[in-house]
Amino acid sequence: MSGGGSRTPLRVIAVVVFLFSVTVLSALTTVIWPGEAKLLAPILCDDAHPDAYVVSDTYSSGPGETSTNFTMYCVGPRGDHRDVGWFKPFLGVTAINGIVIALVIALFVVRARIRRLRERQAVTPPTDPQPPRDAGPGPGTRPTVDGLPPGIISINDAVPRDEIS
Amino acid sequence: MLGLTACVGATERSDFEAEIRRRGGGVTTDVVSGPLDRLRAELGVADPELLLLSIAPADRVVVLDVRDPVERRNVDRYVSRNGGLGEPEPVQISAADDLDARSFRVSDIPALGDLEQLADRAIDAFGFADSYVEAISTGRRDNDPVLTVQVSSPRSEGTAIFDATGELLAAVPT
Repeated sequence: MSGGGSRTPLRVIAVVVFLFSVTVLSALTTVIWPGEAKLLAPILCDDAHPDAYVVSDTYSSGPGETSTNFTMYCVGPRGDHRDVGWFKPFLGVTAINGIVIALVIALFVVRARIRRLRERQAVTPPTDPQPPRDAGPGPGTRPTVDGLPPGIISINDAVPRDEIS
Repeated sequence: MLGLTACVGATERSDFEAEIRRRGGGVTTDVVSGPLDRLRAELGVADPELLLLSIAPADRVVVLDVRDPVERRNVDRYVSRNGGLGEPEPVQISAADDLDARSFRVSDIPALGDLEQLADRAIDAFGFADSYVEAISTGRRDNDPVLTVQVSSPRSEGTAIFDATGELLAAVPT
């Protein structure tokens, strides 16, 4: 029985691919939508500094090139603020994206399994062995032609010629 | 890829600093209480002796010139950023400096325990529109320790001087 043994490496590969994909996707989404990190305010900010800000610093990194850094701050009502950095917010965003994608994948898997289950139930043959009356000759019977006994093609064949007088 | 970098939801640094100023400049007691606690632990004394205490609330930077509790002619500068405490750096002083006359203990200035009220009083003293506290520092006036608060606004600025208990002594527009 080798089924269980071959599935484990596949599952590990699937998990690694999933994690890598989520990380890359998160790197892209944080560039386009860095404000997503503000969703983590209830976790990363305390009651004294409840307002989350994602601050961008853009600078020239070379001729014709600019780079942008992001930093998350938790700000209090008087302007006092805490520097949360970007590593923790990025990890949080990755976790959020991973959960969303996992839920979408799970939804598709469940739908596919339900569809397969329904198809299997539709293919199963009926259990009644008796054929219906008007379904034609059953197995082992010879076809008749115009009510003549089996084996007789025409009325001329019903009586042998040498017996006709 | 360049077209996708919309940076949705991010705030430019200049806008963020403007928001900090709009909220008052970021003056809270923990700006100085945290570094002072770390200083006490570093020196092993409950009430360290200082020559200077300067606060830049918007940047969360506190500078402390501290007398060595053992070698009292030695003065070290500590810089605190975001509540931490950096390594001490020696401060050059003149042999003629009267350190006893210039130094004060943290307990000599109770107003350091309520910087919010100090900031509010300074802002109220001038009544500038959209004003904020830019800096707070210690000093001496008639040999008594005082606190000097710099208040700024887009169109005006001024200096408010408070005694050690936080009572307003003077408010001078510049």
